[in-house]
Amino acid sequence: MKNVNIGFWGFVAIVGVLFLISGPIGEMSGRIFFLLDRILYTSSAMSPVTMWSVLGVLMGLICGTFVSVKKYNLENRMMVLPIGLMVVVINLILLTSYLFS
Amino acid sequence: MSSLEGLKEHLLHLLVVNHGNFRMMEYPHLMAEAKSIGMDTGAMSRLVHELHASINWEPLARIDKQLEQYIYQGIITNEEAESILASVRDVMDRKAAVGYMIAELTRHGFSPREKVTADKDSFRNRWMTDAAWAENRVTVEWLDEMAGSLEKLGEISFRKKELAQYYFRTGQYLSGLVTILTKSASRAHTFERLIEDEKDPELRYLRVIYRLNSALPFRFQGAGYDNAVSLLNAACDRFESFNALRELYRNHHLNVWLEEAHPELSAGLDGEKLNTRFLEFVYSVDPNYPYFLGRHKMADVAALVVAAHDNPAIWELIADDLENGCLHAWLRSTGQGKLVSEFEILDQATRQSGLHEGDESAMASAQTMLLVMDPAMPAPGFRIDPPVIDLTGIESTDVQIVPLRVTMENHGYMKVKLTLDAEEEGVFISKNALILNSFSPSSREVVFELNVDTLRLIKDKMYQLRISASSVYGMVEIPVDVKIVFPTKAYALKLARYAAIFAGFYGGFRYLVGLLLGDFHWLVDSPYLTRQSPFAFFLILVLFISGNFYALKWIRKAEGI
Repeated sequence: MKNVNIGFWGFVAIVGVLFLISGPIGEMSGRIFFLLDRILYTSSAMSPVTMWSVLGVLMGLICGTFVSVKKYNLENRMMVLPIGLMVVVINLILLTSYLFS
Repeated sequence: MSSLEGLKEHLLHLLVVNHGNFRMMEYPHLMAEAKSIGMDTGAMSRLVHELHASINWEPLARIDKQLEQYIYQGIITNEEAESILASVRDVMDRKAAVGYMIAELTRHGFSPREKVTADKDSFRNRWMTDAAWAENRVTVEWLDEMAGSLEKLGEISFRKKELAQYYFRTGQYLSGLVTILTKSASRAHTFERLIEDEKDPELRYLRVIYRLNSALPFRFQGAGYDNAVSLLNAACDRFESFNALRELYRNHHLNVWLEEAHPELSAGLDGEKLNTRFLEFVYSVDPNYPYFLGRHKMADVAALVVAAHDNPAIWELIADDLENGCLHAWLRSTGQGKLVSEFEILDQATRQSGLHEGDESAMASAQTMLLVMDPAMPAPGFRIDPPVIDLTGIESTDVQIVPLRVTMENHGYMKVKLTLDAEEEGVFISKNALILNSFSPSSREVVFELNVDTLRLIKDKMYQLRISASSVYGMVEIPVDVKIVFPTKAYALKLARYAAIFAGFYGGFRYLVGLLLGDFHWLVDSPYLTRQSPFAFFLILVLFISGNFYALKWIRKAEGI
């Protein structure tokens, strides 16, 4: 990544521009979080923090496997396991959320 | 004289020089001497009788017969006297023969006419009768003194060195005098050539004076020495004087003297290796002279072995002297050539082993030499810890380093060559060779490492390798078994670690979102929350994405991938 020094006033300018277009962008951002919440939603009884932690665990497994593959010269197909696990778990969550809603 | 032996000796001398008849009464001090050790006149005359009977008169008669003609001539030269002495050499002590001849000559009116050596009894001093002297007296002036012979010219030149050197610049001064003294053009020519051919003033001076008078002593450290034995006795005492004499040999000063005065000891001036030739000269005079190893005086081989036992400096000196051949020269010329030939066989084998480079082979030679000199000395050896390496079942995570300790056994010096028999990618040893030296604390025990790069080996394959350590004195083999397995433990640790980190990060982030919204419920349950503060959500999204991005960047950096 190129290291661009924009300076203080540059930063202020960018934030200003962003503030001007913050309406639609903010709405879009909100939708992204809404989507993530929707994916992880099982029931109202379950805390969203817990479910996000589950997502974190899945991400951590992918990341740990990636590190191991690179570091210990393991085979690349090892990556299939955590990614597959993530797909399965998310599908299960979605499934339960439909069952409970 | 105060003993019976002394008295006997004196009486014997008197009997000989008086041809067997002398009157005791003419020597009152002898009578007094005899009395003082308790002999009366009767015992004394019995002793004289006994001595008379014990004398072998035959060689004396032979000397008399040969002397006759010289007594008639009234002149005897050194060469003539020497030939008479040589004829009775086997049956008579030289000192007694000289004493007898001088007594005989003195009785016939001979006396030394010119003192050319320190020894007053030398026949070089031109023994002549008064009549002969008057006839032969030709004198020339040389360096402000009068000389009647070449020997005298030499003797004067010896005393007045600087002046003589000045006159020896050209051959004309000396050769003129030589012509007068010898009446011989060829001898004068000899000296002229000598002076013209020798360009070095010091060598020219030495060569001329010893050619003039070969009995002149050799000047060394402020004293004069008549023969090689007395010179070497003085020089071999301390290193400084020994070294000074070696310098004189190296710049030919000593050799000129030897050539002119003691040709049997001279090895000639040409050629090289003057250091070893000097040693050959020293030990040809007497093999019992000490050997100087550097500055250390060694009486014999045994002393050298003892000195080398606990002094590493001696080893280096031995190595040096083996290199320049001095030690060989010493052993050979002292009759210990067997050691040299034994050494050479072993040393050749050592050299052919190709183990040593540069200085190392010199030290290895020193070791070989000491082993040859002292058969009781145990050959150096070594052992390696651990004797076996088992690396089966190690996980392929990183480079495994196994230290191996090589320890010296016994005393000495050696080089150990290390090889790993199979050139496997990823397995190597940190050193190809090491030097063990019991004198240096850091070299008595040397550690090298076996490196196994587990990532570069094939998993679940058995590698059977072998480390060979070989020296001139033996070989040690270390079997190495390596088998790499899947890194279960390390993989599990990585998973757990990142799962925990990301769980904390995501959970924490969602908690932060709830905190900002003031509502910890699902967004699904209350979708209006996202519309309350869109810009805040935008900032949260930026934070989340960049959080993930920097987390990945940090991981790559931390793990080095």
